[in-house]
Amino acid sequence: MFEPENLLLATILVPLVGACLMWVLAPLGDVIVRRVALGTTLVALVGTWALVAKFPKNGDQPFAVWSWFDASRDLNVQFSLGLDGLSLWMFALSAVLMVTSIFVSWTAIRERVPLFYGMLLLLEFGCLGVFTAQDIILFYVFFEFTLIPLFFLIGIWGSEDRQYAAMKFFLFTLAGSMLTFLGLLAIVLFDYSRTGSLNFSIADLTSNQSVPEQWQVCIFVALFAGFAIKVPLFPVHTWLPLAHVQAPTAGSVFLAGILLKIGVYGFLRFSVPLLPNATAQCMPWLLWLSVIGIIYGALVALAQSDMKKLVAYSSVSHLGYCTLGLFALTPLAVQGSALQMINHGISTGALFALVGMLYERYHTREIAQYGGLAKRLPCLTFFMILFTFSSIGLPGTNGFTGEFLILIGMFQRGWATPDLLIIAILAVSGVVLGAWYMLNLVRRVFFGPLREPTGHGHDNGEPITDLNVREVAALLPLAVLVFWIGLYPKFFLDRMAPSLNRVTFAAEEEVRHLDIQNEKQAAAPQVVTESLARVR
Amino acid sequence: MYDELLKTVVTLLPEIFLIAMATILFVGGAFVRAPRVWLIVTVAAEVVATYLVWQQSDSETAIYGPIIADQFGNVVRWLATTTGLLLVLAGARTAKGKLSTEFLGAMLVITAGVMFVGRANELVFLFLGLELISIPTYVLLYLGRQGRGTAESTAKYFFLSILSSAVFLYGLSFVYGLAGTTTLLAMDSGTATIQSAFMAEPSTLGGIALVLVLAGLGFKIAAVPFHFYAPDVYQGVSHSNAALLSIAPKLAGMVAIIRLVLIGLPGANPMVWQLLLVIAVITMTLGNVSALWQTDLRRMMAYSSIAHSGYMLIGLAAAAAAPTQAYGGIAAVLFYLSVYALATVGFFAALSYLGDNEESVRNVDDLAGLANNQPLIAAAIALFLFSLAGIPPLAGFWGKLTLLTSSVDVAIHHTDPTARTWFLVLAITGGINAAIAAAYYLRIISIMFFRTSRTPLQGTGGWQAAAVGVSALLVLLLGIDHGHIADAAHEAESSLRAFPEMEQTSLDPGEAKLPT
Repeated sequence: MFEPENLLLATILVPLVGACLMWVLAPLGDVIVRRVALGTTLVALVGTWALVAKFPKNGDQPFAVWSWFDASRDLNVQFSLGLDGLSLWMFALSAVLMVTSIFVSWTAIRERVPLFYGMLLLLEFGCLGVFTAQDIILFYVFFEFTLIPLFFLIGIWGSEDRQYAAMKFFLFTLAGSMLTFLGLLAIVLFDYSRTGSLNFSIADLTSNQSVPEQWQVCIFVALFAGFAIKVPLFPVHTWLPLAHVQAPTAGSVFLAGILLKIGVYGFLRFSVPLLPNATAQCMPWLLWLSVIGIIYGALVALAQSDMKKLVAYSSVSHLGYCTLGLFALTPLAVQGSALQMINHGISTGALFALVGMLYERYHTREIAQYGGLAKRLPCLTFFMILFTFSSIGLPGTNGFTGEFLILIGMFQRGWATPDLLIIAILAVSGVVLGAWYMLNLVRRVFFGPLREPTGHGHDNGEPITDLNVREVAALLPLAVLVFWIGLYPKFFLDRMAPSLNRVTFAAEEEVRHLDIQNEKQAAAPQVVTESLARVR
Repeated sequence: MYDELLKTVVTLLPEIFLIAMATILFVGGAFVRAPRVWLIVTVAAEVVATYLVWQQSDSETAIYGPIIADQFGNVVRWLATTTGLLLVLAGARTAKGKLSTEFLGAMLVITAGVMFVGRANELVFLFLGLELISIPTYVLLYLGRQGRGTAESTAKYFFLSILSSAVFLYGLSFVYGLAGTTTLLAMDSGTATIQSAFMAEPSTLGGIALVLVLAGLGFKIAAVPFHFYAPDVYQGVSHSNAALLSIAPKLAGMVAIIRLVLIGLPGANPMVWQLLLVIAVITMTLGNVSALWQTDLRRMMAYSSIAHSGYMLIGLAAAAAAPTQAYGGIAAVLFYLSVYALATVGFFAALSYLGDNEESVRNVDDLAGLANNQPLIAAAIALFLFSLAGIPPLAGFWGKLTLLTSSVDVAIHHTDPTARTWFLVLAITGGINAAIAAAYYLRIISIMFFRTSRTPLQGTGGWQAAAVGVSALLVLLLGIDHGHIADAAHEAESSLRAFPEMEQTSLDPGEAKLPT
C-alpha cells in the first residue's frame, strides 16, 4: 500500500478528488468547503513529504515510477509517473505553495467559493502531474491543462481588467506551446524512424538521442517558443505583469511560484538533454537573452509605482538567472539554477502573498500611498523584510545560495569562453539592481513617517490589525525553507545533483567539443576550480 | 445467386432498417399525430441501427456488388448512427412541432445516406448516398424555423448544393470515361476497377476529373473556395439544423474524398497532395481568422466548422503524400471527425436547450452570465469549446495530436525535400491556427463565466439536455481514454490499404514503414 509508486499516484490524485468534492460539498456552505480544501492540500503535503523522505540520496534514476501501460495500442501514450532529482523539489514546492494559496484566499474570496477552491485544487493536480510525467505526451497534457484553471482563476476573481488579462495569458501561452507540441512530435517521430516503434517515454527518448544534427536547431527553436513564453524570457514576457496584477493573490502566488518554473523545467527536461547539439550552438544567444531579461526586468521594476507590478517584474529578472544558470551549462551553474527555481518560488510566492495581505487591509497597491507601516504592522514588516532579503540574496538566506552558484558557474563558463565573460559581469550588476528596487520598496512602504491610504480602510470601519494566526501559518513554512536552504543547501543539492549531471552531461560534452573546434581554451583556470571545490 | 443476394441484404440490414423506419414515419405521421411517440420511435430506431452496426463490426473485408464491407465502412456507420441519434435529440424542439414525422424521417434517411457513402464501392452508389443526405437536408432546413432568413438560407443552400452535385457528377463522368467501369475496388486483381485503371500514367484528363470531384466534395465539407454559403446558411437556420449542416455533409464529404480520391484514384495525378495541402492551409486560416470578428453565434460556428475542415484536410494531404506511415492521415481524419461531431452536436444542443427562437440566443453576448444561472449548461459548453480548441485532456486534443502527427511524419520522412518543407509549413500553420481558434472559443467562455447577465436565460427541453449530457460525457471519456476509438480508426485505415494494388504502387512510400 505504501510503496513509493502508489504513494506518488495517491498524492497526485488527492487534489483531483478534492476538486470533485468541492462540487459535491458546495451546498453545505463556504466554511466547510474551505476546510475540506485545506484538508485536501494538507493530505497532499504529507504525501509529498513522505516521498521526499524516501527519496534516495544519490540516485540518478527516476524514483517511484508508476506506469499504466497497454502494449496493444498503436498510439501507446502511457500514463506513467515518476520523480527524479529534477522534479522532486518542484513537486514538493507545489504542495507547500498550495497550502499558502489556500490560506491567503481564506477571507479574500467571497464569491463562488466552491468553484474557486475547485479550480485551485485542479491547478495543483495539473502542476503535480507536469513535474512527474514520464511520458512526453502526458507532460504536454498536464502542461496545457494547467492553463484552464488559471484562466478561470484570473478571469472570475481578478481585478478590473481581468477578462483581457485572462485571455492574453491563455493565448500567449497556447500559441507558444503549439509550436512546442510540434517539436515534441518531431522528436518522437525521429525516434520512430530510428528504432521502428513509436515510443513516448522521456527516459527512452533521452537515451536514444535520435534527432539528427541538422534538425536539432529547428526543433530547439520550436520547443523554445513555448518554454520561453512560459518562463517568460525577455521579448515575450508582456503577458506576465498583466496576468500577475489582475490575478487574485492565490493565483499570483502559484503562478510565480510554480507555473513559471514549468518553462525552466521544460528546458531542463527536454531541450537540453534531447537536443544537446542545438543547446551548445544556441548557448550564447540564450545567455544574452537571459541577461537582457535580468537587467531589463530589474530596471522596469525600479520604475514601478504598483507593488504587485514591481514584484512581477522582479520575477522576470529572477527567472533570467534561472535560465542563465541553466544555459551556462557548467555543473555548478545548473545546480544553482535548479536551486534558484525553488528559491524564487518561495521568496516571490511569499512576497505576492504579503502584497495581497496589505491589499486586503488597505485596498490599494500604490507604493506612494504607504509609509512607515513598520510601527503599525510589525509582524507583517518582519516577514516582508525577511523575504526581501531572501529575494535579493543576502548570505544566510536561500537566495544567496542559488545566485552565488549561478554566478560562479557563469564565470567558469566565461573563463572557458572569453566572449561570454561580459555576460557574467552584466549578470552581477543585476544583483545590485535587485537589491536597489527591493530595498527601496521596503524603505518607502515600511519606514519613514507613518502614512496610511486615506479612505481605503476596512469597509466596516474596523481597525487595521497585524497578521493573524492564519496569515502567519501561510508564511511560516516558507520562512523555515528560506533558512533551511540558505544554511544547509546540501540536503537539497545532494538529491538533485546526480539527476542534473545526467541530464546536462551530453550538452556539456557538446559545448566542450564546440570549444575545441573553435580552438579555444577549454579548461577553466586552476585557481577558480579549486575555489569552487571549496564552495561545494 | 440467391445466396449472394441474401448476404447483401444481411450486410445492408441497418441501412434497410433505417429507411423502412423512415417510410413508416412518413406514412404513419399522416394519420397519427403523436410527436412524442414518433420521437421515441425514432430514437429507438437509431439505437437499434447502432446495435445492428455493432453486431456486424468485426466482419472481414468483403465486396457485395456496389457495397464494400470493411472496417472503414463500419467505423463510418458507427459514427453516423451515433451522431444521428444525438442530432435527433438536439432537434427535439422541431420534432415536437407540426411537421414532426417529416423531420424525424428525414433524419433517419440522412443517417442511412452517410452509411451508404461509407460503404460505397461504386460511383453511382456513392452519388446515391450523397443525394440521400442532400435532399432531406433541403426539407429539414425549412422545418426548423419560419422566417425570411430561413427561406433565403434554404434557397441558397438548395441552389449551391445542386450546382455542386452537378460538378461532382461531371467529374464522375470523366472518371468513368477514363476507367470504363464504375467499380472502385475488387478483391481479385483481374477485374477492371477504377483503382487499377488509374494506377497507370497520370493523364491530363485524370487531373480534370480530380479537380471536378474535389470541387463537388469541397462544397460538402465547406472547404475554401466553396465555403461562402456556410456562414449565411448557418445564420439563417435553427440551432439543431446548424448542427446537422456542420456534421452530416462534412462526414459524408470527408469519407467520399477518402474512398474516391485517396483510394480510388491513387494515380490520377501526383499533384493531389499539393492540392489538398494548399486547400488545407487556406481553409483553416481563413475560417479561423474570419471567426474572430463574428458576433453571431451560428455564424461564428460556421467559420469554425470551415476551419475544422481545414484541420481534417491536413490528414488527407498527409495520407495522399505518404500512403504508408506511422500514424496515418486517414485514421487521424476518422478520429477527428468523431471528436468534432461530438463537440459540435453537444454545443448546438446546448444552444437549442437555451432557446431556439429568433430573440433568445443569437449573439455571443446573449450568453453573458450563463455560468450564474445555468452552471451545468455553461460548464458543458465550456467543455465542448475547450475540446474544439484542442486543449488537453479533452477529446479534441487527441484529434489534433493525430492530425499533426501525420503531417510532421511526412515532413520528416518523405523522400522529396519540397514535400518535406511543405508539410512542415502545414504542421506549423495547423499549430498556429489552433492558437487563433482558441481566441474566439475563449471569448464565448469568458463571456459566459466572467460577465453578468441582464436577462437570465431559461432552459427548456429534456431531450436536448440529454444530448448535451451524453456528448459531454463522451468528450470527457474520449479525452481520458482515446485508445479504443484510435485503434478502431487505425484498423479502418489498414482495411483500406489492404488491397493488393495499394501495396505495389503507393505514390511515394518514403522511408516510412507499413503500419504495425
